Amino acid sequence: MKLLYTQILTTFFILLSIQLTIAQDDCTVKLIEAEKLYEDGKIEKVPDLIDNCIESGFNKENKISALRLLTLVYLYEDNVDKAGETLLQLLKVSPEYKIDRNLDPIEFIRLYSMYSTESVFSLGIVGGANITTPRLISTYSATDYDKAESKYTSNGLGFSIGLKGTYHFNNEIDIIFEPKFSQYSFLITENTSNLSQFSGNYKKSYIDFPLIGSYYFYDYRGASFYVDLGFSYGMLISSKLNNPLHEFPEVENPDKKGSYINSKAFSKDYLLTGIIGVGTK
Amino acid sequence: MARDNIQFNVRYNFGFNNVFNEELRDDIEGIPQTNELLYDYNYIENDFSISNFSILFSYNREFYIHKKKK
Repeated sequence: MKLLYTQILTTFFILLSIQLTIAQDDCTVKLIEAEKLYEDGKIEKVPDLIDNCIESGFNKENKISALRLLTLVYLYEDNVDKAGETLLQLLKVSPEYKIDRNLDPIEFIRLYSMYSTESVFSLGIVGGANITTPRLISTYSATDYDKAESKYTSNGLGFSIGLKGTYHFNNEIDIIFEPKFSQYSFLITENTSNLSQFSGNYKKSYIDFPLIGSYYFYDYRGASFYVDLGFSYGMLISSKLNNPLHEFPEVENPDKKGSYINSKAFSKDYLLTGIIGVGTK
Repeated sequence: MARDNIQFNVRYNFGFNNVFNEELRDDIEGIPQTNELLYDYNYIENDFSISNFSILFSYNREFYIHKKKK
């Protein structure tokens, strides 16, 4: 019984797909005929020929061609409202549709320019790697400040992952909001006496809320280049001082090693940064 | 602009603020973690800021609102 159902279903889908292919082929022939009629100046016959196929029967590429053809027909019939409606239909099928200034008739170009056709905003996901460059502001050594030689250095790669929302203010300027989770990693070493040294590996995690303005300054072979300028507010999520170590390299005093210290307790709960950058898309 | 696109960014984030909570500076021994650092490791945390270089990739989808211009 199960086998019978499977065979019936398979036959049904094969027949359906054959029917769809036949319908699509039929509409393709109609589109070719419609284009011929348009070229011969018999434009009044075009809508009736392809209207039904636009509803269902064309693949995306043919649907775009058919809607473009219909828009042209309505323009030549001086039915600007209907031409506009059809152009909007075309843009719904292919939102990123662009005119070809070398091939498209001037009437079509003029109609197209009467409509907003640029992307308004974009949404996306963002991720990447970072190298932290910590900077010492003031030393507070338990011993002699001058001999502490506190060093904060980068230690491997951190990462960021999040969401990206872009508002296209105009053709040259984007406003970007890019909330993301970021982890920063860096190393601290400091002399705690003439004979001893402290070291530890910081890992700090923030949810960053950057607000950035991008200015597009150059286009090359379809790629656009831009500069970024902005600022970010980071909300501290966690802060750990991993592998704290107090060692005596030249004497036999026992080292003090730990697993980690939760440094969130003495860290500021925010991170303010200024942002500069370059990018391409 | 393609409906879907990929962006590549190189950025420098300059840290403005001290990430150590300096309000706790006068009470180092009153906080268990800083107390542990001081007495077990002979270390007092300094004032410092963090900046970073980042390389980011993003995958974006463009959204359009087609309408007649006013």
